[in-house]
Amino acid sequence: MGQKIFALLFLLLFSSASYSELVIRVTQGNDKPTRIAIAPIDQTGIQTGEDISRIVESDLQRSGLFETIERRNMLAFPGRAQDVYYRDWRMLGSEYLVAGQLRSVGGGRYQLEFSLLNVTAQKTVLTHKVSGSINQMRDLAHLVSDKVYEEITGIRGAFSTRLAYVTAIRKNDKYTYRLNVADADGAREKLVLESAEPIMSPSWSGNGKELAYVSFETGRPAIFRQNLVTAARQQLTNFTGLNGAPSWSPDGTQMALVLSKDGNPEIYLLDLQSNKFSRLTRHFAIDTEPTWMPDGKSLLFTSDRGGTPQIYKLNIATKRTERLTFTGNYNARPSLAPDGRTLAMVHRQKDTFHIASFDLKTGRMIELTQTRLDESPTVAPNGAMLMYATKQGDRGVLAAVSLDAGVRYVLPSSVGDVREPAWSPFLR
Amino acid sequence: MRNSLSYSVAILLSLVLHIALVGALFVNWQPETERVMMQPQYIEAKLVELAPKKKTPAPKLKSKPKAPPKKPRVDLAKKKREEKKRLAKVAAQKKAAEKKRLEEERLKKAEQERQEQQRQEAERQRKESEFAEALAAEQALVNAREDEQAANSYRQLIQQRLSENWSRPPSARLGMETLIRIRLVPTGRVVGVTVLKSSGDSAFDRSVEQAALKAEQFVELQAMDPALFEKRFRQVDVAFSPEDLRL
Repeated sequence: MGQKIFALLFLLLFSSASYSELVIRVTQGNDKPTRIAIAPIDQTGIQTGEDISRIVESDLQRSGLFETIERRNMLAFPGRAQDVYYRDWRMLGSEYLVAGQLRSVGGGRYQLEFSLLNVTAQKTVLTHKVSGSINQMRDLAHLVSDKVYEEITGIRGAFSTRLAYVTAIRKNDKYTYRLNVADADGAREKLVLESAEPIMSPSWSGNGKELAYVSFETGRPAIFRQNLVTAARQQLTNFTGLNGAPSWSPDGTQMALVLSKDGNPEIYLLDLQSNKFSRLTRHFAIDTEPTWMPDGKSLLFTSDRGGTPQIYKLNIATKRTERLTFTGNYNARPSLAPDGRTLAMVHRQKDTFHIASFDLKTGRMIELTQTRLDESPTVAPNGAMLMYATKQGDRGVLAAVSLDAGVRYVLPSSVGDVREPAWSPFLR
Repeated sequence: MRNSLSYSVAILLSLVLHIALVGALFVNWQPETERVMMQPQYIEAKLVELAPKKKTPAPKLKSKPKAPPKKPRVDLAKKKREEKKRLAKVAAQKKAAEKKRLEEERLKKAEQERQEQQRQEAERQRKESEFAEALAAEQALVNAREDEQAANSYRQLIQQRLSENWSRPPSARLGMETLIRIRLVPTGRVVGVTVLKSSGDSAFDRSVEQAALKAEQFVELQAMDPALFEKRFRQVDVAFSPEDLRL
């Protein structure tokens, strides 16, 4: 009897010792935007014409992952990490703080030194310097956004990237088409090409220095490439019939495109060094809209060979094709996220066209947009957002949605109809 | 394998229980209404039965046969006179011897009784201490269980609070896990967080640290038994691994 009790007591003692090593498991979270304060950049004596902090604020806010603290609530505007009183920011419910100083370093150059501070843990996370000319203040701001975004979210920021898109302006029953390039936030729009004939399908080169596009300026569709810095142009195709949907390979040496010179639209490969074409598909159905897999070894394209438009994968070496989408009777215009797994596409549901994401691994489809005539999805190089063309009233505008459908916004547009967006690769 | 097996047993059991329940509902509802109607009859029958039963407990008394020991007295009245004296002497001697013997016997008996009493006392004490021991053991068990229950509820509270404060970065993926150690003081305040095992993703690790720091203070821990706090809650290890993500 006594022995039993002792054994029991021993067991109890022993087990209680092991309990203290038991680990609490947290398996659910409460994902909320991170609260961050962007203190006004200290730029005493420098007239920049841009409010760098405001640009950073709107960048971070647009991502949907951040919530910024209003400037009028701030108790202090520290320029350096050592001037920060954490309590001030904690009181505002801020988890992070960005503070920075802009100084002239001579020769028309300016240096922005900024710090990201963790208010909750009361320590400096990073301090970084970027510099540029007086005209590059927006670039500096986007660089700050990129750094902060990457540090906190674990994903590379894409605020310094750019967008190419086409606008159509109607005046006196005549259209003017423009190919433009702008910052990812829609600012600093720059004209690349203006034409009285349609311009379509802009595609970025892998290094972000060139654009390929389809122009009807010669009277029929032809594919051009154009250097964005030197503005040098080169016509790549001049075949009868369709010349369209150029897509630059990731290494920049080849281009996938669609030609109908042999009867009906087929996918071809153009070697940009030798200027030689090779045919990839051979089918009586329409094959179009090729886009590269990140490894450059296969292409995704749209084909109606199965009766309805669906997305297929084509191995370039073996020419083998494989159907990828089976949900719905219209899936087209594939645009692949850099993870090589999440595919954005146009998906028809009951006569309305939405943008949907499709997980190549699990086959799961998620509708990302609820508007009616959504088209031309293009995924940001960091895979966090995608841009697409939609209608607002009777006007074409660009809108963005995060790939988890958590946040969406419409890009403030210039005049006319905006369509066919193409998101650039990382530029640095 | 083992899980599915144990589940199947559980499922079988619950099935049987459900069937039994439904069966009981169907079978037993109707007879009960009948029983209500029959009740007066039963009551009559019972009354008859109860009458003789009441009588039996009355004479239930135990008579204990008592045998009071009585010492036999020697009667000398019927003896001859001559012999009376001698006999009286012998008797006196005998009486003395008898008295001595009786006295010895009495002493012996007393000694035996004393020993018996001592033995009983020892036995009683032994039993008492054994009982106390068992009681103490049971108390320890109860205490430990109460401790465990209290600890569990506090652990649950901590888990919930951390979950509320945990905002995962988009780089978070299923299968990532960060193990941290939270150091607490008896006011429930978080005074330190260290990463024991990183997930490999710095943004994910930081989100975990932030969750603990943002929790700031578990005020409820102030109500805890200090011994329990020292034993279990001065340092708390928490593993963060998302299970509700898409990727």
